[in-house]
Amino acid sequence: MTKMTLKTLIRNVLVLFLFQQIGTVAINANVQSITAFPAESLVERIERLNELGKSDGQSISYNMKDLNGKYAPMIEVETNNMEEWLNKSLADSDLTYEKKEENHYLILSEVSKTTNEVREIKQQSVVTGVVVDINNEPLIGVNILEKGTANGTITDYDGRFSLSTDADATLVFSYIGFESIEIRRNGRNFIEVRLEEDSEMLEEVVVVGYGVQKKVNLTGAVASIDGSELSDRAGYSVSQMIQGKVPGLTITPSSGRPGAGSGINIRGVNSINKGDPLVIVDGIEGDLETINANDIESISVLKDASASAIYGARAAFGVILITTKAGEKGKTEVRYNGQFGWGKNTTSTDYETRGYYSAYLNDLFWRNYAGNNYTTYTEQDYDELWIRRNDKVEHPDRPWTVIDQRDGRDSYTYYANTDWYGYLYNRTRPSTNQNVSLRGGTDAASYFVSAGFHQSDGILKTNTDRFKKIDFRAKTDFKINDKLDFSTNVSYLNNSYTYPGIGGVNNAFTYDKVHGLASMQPENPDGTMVYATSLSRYVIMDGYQMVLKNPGNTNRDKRDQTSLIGELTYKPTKELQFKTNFNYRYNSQGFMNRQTNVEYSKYPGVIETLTTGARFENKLYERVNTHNYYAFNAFGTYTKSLQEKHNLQGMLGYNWERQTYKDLKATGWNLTDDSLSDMNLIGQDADGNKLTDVSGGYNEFAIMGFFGRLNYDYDGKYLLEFSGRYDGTSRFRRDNRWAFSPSASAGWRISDEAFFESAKNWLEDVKLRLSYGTLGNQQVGYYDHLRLISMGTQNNYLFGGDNRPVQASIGAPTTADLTWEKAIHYNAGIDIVTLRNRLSLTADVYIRDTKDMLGESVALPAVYGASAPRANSADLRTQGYELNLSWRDSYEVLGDRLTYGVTLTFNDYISFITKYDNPDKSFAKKHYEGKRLGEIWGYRVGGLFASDAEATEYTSRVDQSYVNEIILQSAGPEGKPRGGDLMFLDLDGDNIIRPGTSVNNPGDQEIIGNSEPRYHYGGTFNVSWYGFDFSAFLQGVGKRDWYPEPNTMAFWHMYARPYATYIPKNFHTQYWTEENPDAYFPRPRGYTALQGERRQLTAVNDRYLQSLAYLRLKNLTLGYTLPKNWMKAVKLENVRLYLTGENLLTWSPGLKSDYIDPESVVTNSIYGDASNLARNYPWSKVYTVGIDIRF
Amino acid sequence: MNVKMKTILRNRLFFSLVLIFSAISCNDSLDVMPKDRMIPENFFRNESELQMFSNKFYTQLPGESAIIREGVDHIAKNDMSDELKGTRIIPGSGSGWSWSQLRDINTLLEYSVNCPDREVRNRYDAVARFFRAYFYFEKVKRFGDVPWYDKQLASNDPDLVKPRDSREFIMSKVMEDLDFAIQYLPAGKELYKVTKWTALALKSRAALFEGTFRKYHNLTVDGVGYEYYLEQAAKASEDFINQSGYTLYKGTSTTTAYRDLFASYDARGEEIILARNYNKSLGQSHNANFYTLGVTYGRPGLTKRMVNSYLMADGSRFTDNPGYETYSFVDETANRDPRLSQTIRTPGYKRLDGTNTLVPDLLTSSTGYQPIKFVMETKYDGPNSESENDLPIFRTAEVYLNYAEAKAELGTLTQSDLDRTIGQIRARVGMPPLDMVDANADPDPYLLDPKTGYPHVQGQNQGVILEIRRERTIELIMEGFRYDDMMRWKEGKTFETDYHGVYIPELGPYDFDGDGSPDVYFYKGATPSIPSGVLAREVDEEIFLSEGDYGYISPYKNMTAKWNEERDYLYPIPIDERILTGGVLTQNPGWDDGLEF
Repeated sequence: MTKMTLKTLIRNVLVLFLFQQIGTVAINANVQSITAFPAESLVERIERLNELGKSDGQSISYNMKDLNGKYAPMIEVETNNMEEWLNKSLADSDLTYEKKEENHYLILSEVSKTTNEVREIKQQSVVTGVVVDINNEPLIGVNILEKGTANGTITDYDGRFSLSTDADATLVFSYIGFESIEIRRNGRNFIEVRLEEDSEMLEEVVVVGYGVQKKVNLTGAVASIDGSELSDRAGYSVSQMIQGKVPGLTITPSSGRPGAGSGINIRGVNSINKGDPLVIVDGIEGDLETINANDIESISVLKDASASAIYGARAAFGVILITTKAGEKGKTEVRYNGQFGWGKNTTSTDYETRGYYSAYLNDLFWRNYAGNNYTTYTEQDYDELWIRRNDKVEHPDRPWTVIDQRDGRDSYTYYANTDWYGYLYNRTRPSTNQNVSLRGGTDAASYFVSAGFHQSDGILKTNTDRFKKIDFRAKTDFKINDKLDFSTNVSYLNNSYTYPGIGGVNNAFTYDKVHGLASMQPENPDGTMVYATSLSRYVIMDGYQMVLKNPGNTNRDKRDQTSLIGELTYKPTKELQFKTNFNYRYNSQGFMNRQTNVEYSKYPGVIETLTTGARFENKLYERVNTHNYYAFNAFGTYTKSLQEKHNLQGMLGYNWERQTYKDLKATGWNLTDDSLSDMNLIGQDADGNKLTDVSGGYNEFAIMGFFGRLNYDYDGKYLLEFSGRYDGTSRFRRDNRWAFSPSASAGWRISDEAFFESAKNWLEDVKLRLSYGTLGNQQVGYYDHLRLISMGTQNNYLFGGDNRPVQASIGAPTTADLTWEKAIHYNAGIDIVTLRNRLSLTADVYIRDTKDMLGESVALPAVYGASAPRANSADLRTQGYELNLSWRDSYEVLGDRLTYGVTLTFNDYISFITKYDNPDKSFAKKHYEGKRLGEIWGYRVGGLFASDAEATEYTSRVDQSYVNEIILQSAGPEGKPRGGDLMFLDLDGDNIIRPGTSVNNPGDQEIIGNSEPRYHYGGTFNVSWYGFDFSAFLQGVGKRDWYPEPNTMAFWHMYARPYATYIPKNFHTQYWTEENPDAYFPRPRGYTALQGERRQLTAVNDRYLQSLAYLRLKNLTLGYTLPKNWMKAVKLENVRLYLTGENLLTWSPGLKSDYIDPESVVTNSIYGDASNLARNYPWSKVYTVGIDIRF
Repeated sequence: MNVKMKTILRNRLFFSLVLIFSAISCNDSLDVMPKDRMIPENFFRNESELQMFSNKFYTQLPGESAIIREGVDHIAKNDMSDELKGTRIIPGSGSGWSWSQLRDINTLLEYSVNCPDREVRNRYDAVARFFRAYFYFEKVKRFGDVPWYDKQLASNDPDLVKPRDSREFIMSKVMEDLDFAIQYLPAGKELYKVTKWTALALKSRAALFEGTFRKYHNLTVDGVGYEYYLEQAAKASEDFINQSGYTLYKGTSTTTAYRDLFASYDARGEEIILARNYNKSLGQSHNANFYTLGVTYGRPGLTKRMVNSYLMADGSRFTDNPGYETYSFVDETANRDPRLSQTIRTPGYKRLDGTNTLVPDLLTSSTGYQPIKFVMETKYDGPNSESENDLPIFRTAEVYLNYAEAKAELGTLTQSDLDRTIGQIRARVGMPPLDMVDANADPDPYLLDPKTGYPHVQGQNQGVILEIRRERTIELIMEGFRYDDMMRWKEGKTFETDYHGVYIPELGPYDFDGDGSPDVYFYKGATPSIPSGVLAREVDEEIFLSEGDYGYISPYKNMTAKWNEERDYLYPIPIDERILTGGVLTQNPGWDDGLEF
């Protein structure tokens, strides 16, 4: 099925849908007097008029193609005159009408009319006839067109027509709801035509692998998203736009950085190794992040084996198919979509900015470990801080920087109330999105061209980081002749991200966490930077605040991608179609990191320069990474219906792909200019040496596949599909290289059975589906089957001289029998459409067994001397279910249709290890048989000790020393558990708190939670009325646990490191003291949450286990489409203004921190270890205004 | 379009389709070999490739933590090590039982046949065998008997499960490897690469270890006693001394030579045989400055017992002075072996680039005897590993000490042996020579005392052996020798001694440099009002004194050393390894892992 037919079908479905609604309008309209028509599409208008005309036998015929994409203005008329309605409706278009018979009108384009007139001169004879349906009832208003011309007419009230044509003309009969047919006149003067109802027209069509399929005939688990759902969303990231839209599709944004990508997953844990879905864009492997959302026509998500087996070994964990918009015949439509947005943090940034409290708390946490103060503030200094504590800005009488005698000399001394967050970061950040597209064509050629520009400013205040993206796409379709089509698809993408600091923007969110006391100042009164002070032995933020401010520190990541697709379609007969396409893609990524020396001042008038170390040396790093990708596909499809009931479709194809990656990296030191960045500027070091470092890298893979699919259905009732693919990859040895992935599925449309007839008027469609299939997974390293020697720089041992030595190292030994991992999918589903097409439900349950995963290798004695070769030794089972429920309806409210819809998605899954080489269930190995992925083992805590006496008494009975590492090392009286410290429960009764060794001997630990997400849900609500449209999209996760990792300073603050920059407001009320015994956090003590598992807060326990369950208002949109009659004046077709917000509200009651976004915590999720240090680029909520103009 | 053209076109189309398919449809197109890396069969062909592969071997040599940051009984730190506390546990895996370096070494030895140049091949085989000897010497020190492998093991090799070979078998292989290395390694001096002289120095060290270990642990293995190894040690040391041309670094003055040997950006090549190179701009640096000067990091301090062992400048014994136990800091540091002032802060101490005199900082040194060895100029003070002076791995003074000790233990030591070794070491700092007869006539009771010395030393050379040990401990402090020395001398029980710092006679002000103004104020209860610049320490809260309100600074307030003579000289074999080999790997004596096979 070609794209054109697909589009026509979709459009017809739409028309029909509207047609049905209009039926109700018309009845009302007749009763009342006609006063107003809303602005609407011309097709809608004509159908409305046809409906109104029914009562007195008037009808209008038209050629859909002429009306497509045209709008009828809003009109007000006080008449029932059909001609007047028509006049006004067509007033602003290039269409006119002719009165063909009494009460019958034909709409013609001005162009057709002229040619019609011309042709009439040459006409040779008149043909007459009658058009009936299968019950021999005449059909009124059937379009009849002489093929290849604009000459046409419509049938009258008796189904009769008359038309002058060539004697051998071909006539095309078309009528909504019926299958079009073509009949050759063959010199006849009378023709009787019978039209059959077109059952297909009722059905939506879905893009599947190497083709399209009617949704009603689908037997696999496939979900689809229409491109129009994305066009309102702000921003540029397609992956984030589809989050929550499809049950079973999980999107995990990797960070809040502008331009950051996302993790994509279909149906939960795929493999204990890597397992990503395959993304196909216009038939070729691609990337969600490079697509402009405005270009997308549709997205299909293939979830089970039967749907994805055609892609074989890369599709073990599902496929996402993206189809971009193509050209359409007709007048050129220009569309502009522009957005301007403002982003803010999703979390609180209200930190302690009073120097007194910041110094006091940091000193307290430090002292309770080390015995002395972190700062060298004296009591007098503290008095100075105290009197300034309420000065939001510097008071002239109480300067924040004074010069005082320290270290035996004049030193800068700071008594400030510095808002470090405000100093380093923007609290709001603008972004813009501009898209223009053109779409149009003729019979012979059509085109779609679009261009987009996106820019967002980041959070860093000085030398603000910025993401820019430019994309361009041009698609053309040429009809070479009746049998041959040629199309091209060219796209270009350029994006760049520039940022200050040192390489890796996340460094800012790591270094800024420490040693930035509010009492310190970022800059001295003379404008010099502050680094080392006489007030602490440490330097502020390890110097990173200076690095961020330093204009010499610039970094740029950029990407250029060009993709060319050419496709040839050959249709020798109606049943047979061949397609072949070739894709070349060039992708180049460039990275540049530049840093220079930094100056600071500790003593007035003395400026010192930092020249060494990772943050301060004068250095330029550049990297260019080039990918070349080639893909070739060829496939043929044969469709045949036998005896009208047996429908058969077969497809066979071939695929070949190759990709190469080339890397080039260079570093140069001591550039001669701080503001220029080029390798030509490399100078020399103090000893006169030129320092450089260069390295490369090359990878390549090739894959090949033969695939086929066979579909059979009996009368659309019993559906069968077989598909499979035979795949080879360069990533395995010759003898293990090839794998076959078969699948089978079946469907039963119960609603087409005779016994269902009685329910048919309210239960339109019910289908049961079953599928099964096995897929291989080739997601292993490029050369895992070889033992390789790599040349590298030796980074931990030097031999003198000015360069690092070169080291040749050999990879770990491999085993010969490394082979494919397999995923076996079972799926059962039901699709229901009911209540007059208003309610639809899709439900699926599935089991996926992932077999022969590369598990931990068989444990070998350490004398082996290398990591043992991994073996295909582990199995995993994931089981889950998905629901998609949607309701659409409309009512007449105060003179306009109010249309609304609700869509709910829900899914859940759990995963178990079903085989693993760990018979003792030892904790020393990652997994064990029967383990549910995500288990969190931890201690039970019986609360905080109420007093020193209780602590002493308890710990004299129960030895807590295993988890009290830092406490026992603390200075003086703090060197033992005291009031406010954690009481660990002795679960196994051996009077010693300690972890166990295996599941059977777990010590004092038990499973206290699970880090895998449960109960994903999403809900969309939309309503439109009088040109207004409103939609809300909520998304969330029902259950997920997280134990904040050691050193997660956003959660543990000074418990991790007793010199935290960011201290929550009122933190001094949140930790235990004798006066505050019910506090959440324990006795103040630095380093108890820093590292390992033997400190009281790093020992995973239930008291500080967090819930990451959340409900998020992902998107809220309010739009207004300006009335059509206003548009006439400015010659525009459609103008819509809208306001939209992303991530507006988040509700996560189980996360005991206002400073952590629940989505940001799990970005680096590795199965069974779903956590990271929550120090990512902050997540944003974005407010956007947009305008969408079409003309 | 005529028929002919159509045929041509059709043929061309057909031809190109055939071309495309034949180019891409055969299995060969899926044979993708790496283009940026090598496979072993095509490598090891010349000196450059062998050298690049052997460069990695050097990473098994010790770095900062094993050299500078050693803390046994002679240096107290924040925390006492598990070895001293007796709290070592039997690990699940790892903990010294790592074999990847050996695999790489055996890989080179297996593939070096790819190199047609026999001379080059021998030279790199020698490098590999030097490091294999180093590797096994480390294993023997830690575990005693270990399995011997001289090949790369396949994942199904039955030798993966192999019983431990005797330490005699291993040490004989170590000697064999070293003899090969001595024969084929180049004889020129190289500061950062192994040479014939490094191999001799390692042989001297390893044979001395094995010889004295067997002697004091009373071991004869496979019929071989201690004498053979002591003879090997003496012979290797002597060859080194006679042939290598290495001498001691004399510097500019006896009061700075010792300090400057270690506070040198590049190691002093006249004495240092093999150094570890540091260069911050190339990413290699260490923390010597911050370790000795930072508040939270280590807080090292020499113990009182160590400081007591330094002789007086005239060669007499400090501990012979009556009342030496309660000397003030100023008094006890006066007129001592000049190495004391070049090892810790004593009155008058200045940083290399400093003009102010500095006193010991009780915030950064847990005993008050604050080390300065390896400390460079103030620009290296930052917390992020700013130091970049080279660290010694083998140096000539050690070979001298090995030689004297081996000969003394064998009973073949002569005064001239002493003069050319320890005499030289002492002369460098202006100390009088060690007289063998005097030493044997009057063995130092302090060094024989089980609480402060080496009670197991016996025999006619008792006195001189004690003096050699004194010399060795003082000369090689902070270079990573102490723990191994105590093991081979079987003096682990001495760890259970008192860990003391500077003697504080009473609460109140204390003057570290004798300039009349107090430097530290010790108090209890309310914070006293004291002049700025004076450090206040609250006794029993921030600092502990051995007798409560007075006495020695006690760095380990509630930690005590505990040594199990029957168990602690060797480390336990990790449990997982015992399980994986089904008990074929036996556990070391005294370590009960509860496993039965």
